[in-house]
Amino acid sequence: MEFVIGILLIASFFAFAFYCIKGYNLMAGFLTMATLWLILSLLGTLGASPSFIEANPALQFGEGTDVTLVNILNTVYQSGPEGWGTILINFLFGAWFGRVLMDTGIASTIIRKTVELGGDKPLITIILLDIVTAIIFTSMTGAGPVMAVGVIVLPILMSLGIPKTIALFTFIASVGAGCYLNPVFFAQYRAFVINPDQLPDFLFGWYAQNWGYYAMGIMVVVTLIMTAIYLRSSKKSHAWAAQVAPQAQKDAPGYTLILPLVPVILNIAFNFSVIGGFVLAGMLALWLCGKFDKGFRENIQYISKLMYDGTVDTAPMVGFLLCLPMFNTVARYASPYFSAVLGPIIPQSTLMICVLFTALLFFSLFRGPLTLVGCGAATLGVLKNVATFSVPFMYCAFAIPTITGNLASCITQSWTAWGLSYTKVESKDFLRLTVPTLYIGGALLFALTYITMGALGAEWFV
Amino acid sequence: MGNPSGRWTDAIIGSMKEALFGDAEYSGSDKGPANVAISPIEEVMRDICALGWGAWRDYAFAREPLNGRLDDAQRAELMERARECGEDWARRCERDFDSSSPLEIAERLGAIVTFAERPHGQDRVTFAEFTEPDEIYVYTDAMDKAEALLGAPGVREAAGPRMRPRELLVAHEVFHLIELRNARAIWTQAYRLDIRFGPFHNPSRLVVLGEIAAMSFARTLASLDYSPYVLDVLLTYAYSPAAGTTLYNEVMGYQQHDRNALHDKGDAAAPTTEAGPRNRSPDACLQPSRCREE
Repeated sequence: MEFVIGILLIASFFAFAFYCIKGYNLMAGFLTMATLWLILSLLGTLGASPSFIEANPALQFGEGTDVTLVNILNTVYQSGPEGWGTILINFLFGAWFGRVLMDTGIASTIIRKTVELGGDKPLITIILLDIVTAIIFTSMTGAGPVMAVGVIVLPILMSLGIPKTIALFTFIASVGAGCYLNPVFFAQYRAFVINPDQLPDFLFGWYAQNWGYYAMGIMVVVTLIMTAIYLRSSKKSHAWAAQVAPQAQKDAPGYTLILPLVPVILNIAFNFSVIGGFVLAGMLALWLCGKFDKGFRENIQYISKLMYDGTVDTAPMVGFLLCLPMFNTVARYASPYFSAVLGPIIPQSTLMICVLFTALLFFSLFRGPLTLVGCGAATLGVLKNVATFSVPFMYCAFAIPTITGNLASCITQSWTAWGLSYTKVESKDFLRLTVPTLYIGGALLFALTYITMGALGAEWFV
Repeated sequence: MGNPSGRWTDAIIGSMKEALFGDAEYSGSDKGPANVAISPIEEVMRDICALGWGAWRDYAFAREPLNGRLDDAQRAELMERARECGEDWARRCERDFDSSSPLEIAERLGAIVTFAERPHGQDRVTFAEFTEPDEIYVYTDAMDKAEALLGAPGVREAAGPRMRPRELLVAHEVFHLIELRNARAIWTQAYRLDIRFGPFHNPSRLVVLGEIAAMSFARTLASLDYSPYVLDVLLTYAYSPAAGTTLYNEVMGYQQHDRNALHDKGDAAAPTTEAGPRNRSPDACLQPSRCREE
């Protein structure tokens, strides 16, 4: 029976992957999948062998145990989303900080100064802009800030004659590179692997020093090399286009340009809270840029408005983020069945996982089974149950396809979808540039993961 | 008459409250396209078609990545030089090809002109494109809508009979082809702005010069009285009246800004005359114009 349920779960998994690829609503998809997997997992206990039930405490409930069916339902539908609240709050403050950087003109000033440094040399400008974009997205979060920076960066790149597909590719890829060192994304993906209160030593500072800096550096360099290669074989173009978004904005004071890095530096150097860093740097930005020039009440309303705008920026993600934990929680009940079917064939060594994941990187696209913001959450659940890997290794193994695959390469990512519409780039043209980059960058990152995380000691296991 | 308590509050507490807490109404609300009050197209066209060449200076340079390195005098100078360059090349084309039809000139230059329908978003509307070495794409989606707008009462009167969007777009892109073929000789490609960062110098081209000269080239071929930048507003308006009005407000806002600046200087001359400003800056870093026949 457990084998049959396992097959059904795998079939539903592929059906869900198809659902995601077709671009249907992820929130509804995860809610449905959570319910379907819960029903299958609970029904499976009726016909499963006693030894199977005995070997999997998660499936023991009802008479003779302390766990009732209602307990399980509450765990899935109540505790799961509630537990995700801490991650969501990080997201909201990150989005608020992104709005602050845009509204104060700090982000646009950084971009403008960078462009002036590059002059009319497209490749130099791209190198500088990519580095700066990656750095500012170590602290900015959400589709709103990406779009707000994009309306500055993309017209500049296109005005220099850079083909729009390459301009969009290099911008989105450098945003993705910055996400490797973004504490908000770290907290979010960490929560997929372990509960927030588990393994307190697995901090952002430790992660950054052992993997994050290198990962970001590798992806920036790979993006630049790929951009240079693409530029060599491309035709220069000049477009006559009208843009609504005004570019003229007063420069922010020079000393405020360091503020986007403050939350990250505080977190890495002092383990200072992410939200505290956002609030401190955000308030400093508003004050130093003269945004607190009105009365107390209006200043407060202004801060509220930025929070409102930031929340709206993250709104499409919120529903998804609140249904995803139901699915993550239910994976705990479904994974014994996956183990029954896939256990014998899933690699048990870190090297093989790195090789396999590199080969399968394409499945990080279209919300596929390797991205945590798609159906990769289920793959992670399966992997956690059929093999034993250190937490940092698991984190990195899934962060690579999620960030470089989903956030930086996939057309289903919200800001990429916006970018395609904004620049009128065809999806297939964009993917032609991102897929090779995904494989080259991904292979290097998995090599890095194997070297730095492949042989961690017992203290990194849960 | 209000009660004594009310007057006391107004006189003392009210002013203290306003000083401490400010006006209760938040004034920083979004002024983006979604919230803009849409102006009628006849009014928009009447106002922007009445603008002279120089009136588009700030609008054009706002789209230049190195704009922050220029002052107003340099912008005015460059605007005028770019106009001269575009005009010179238009005259040469008319003479050499015995035609002022942009399509015919494009054909004689060996360009491949493609008209393609392309849907647009509201935030950025692409009208036409030149892809090196010789491909010109003109996107008809917004253009067809603009043709319909031009038929509206008052719009054609403001734009005049010579406003033909399709030919203006082709002419603009033909100039980029000419720039490519004459990169060493044409002023827009030869001009360099010396950007300094401490001891470092980075002589850079200004991409906006090519755009302005292309507008001047198109304007000369079409014998228009106003700048083809008008099309930015018209075509965008045709697709999204709110977005078009936002562009219109931006352009007209620059006129107000210029008037205020002139008023501050006590200068009575308006900067929107056809000849444009000629306030050459003695320290402006300009190369001699190389816009000549080869």
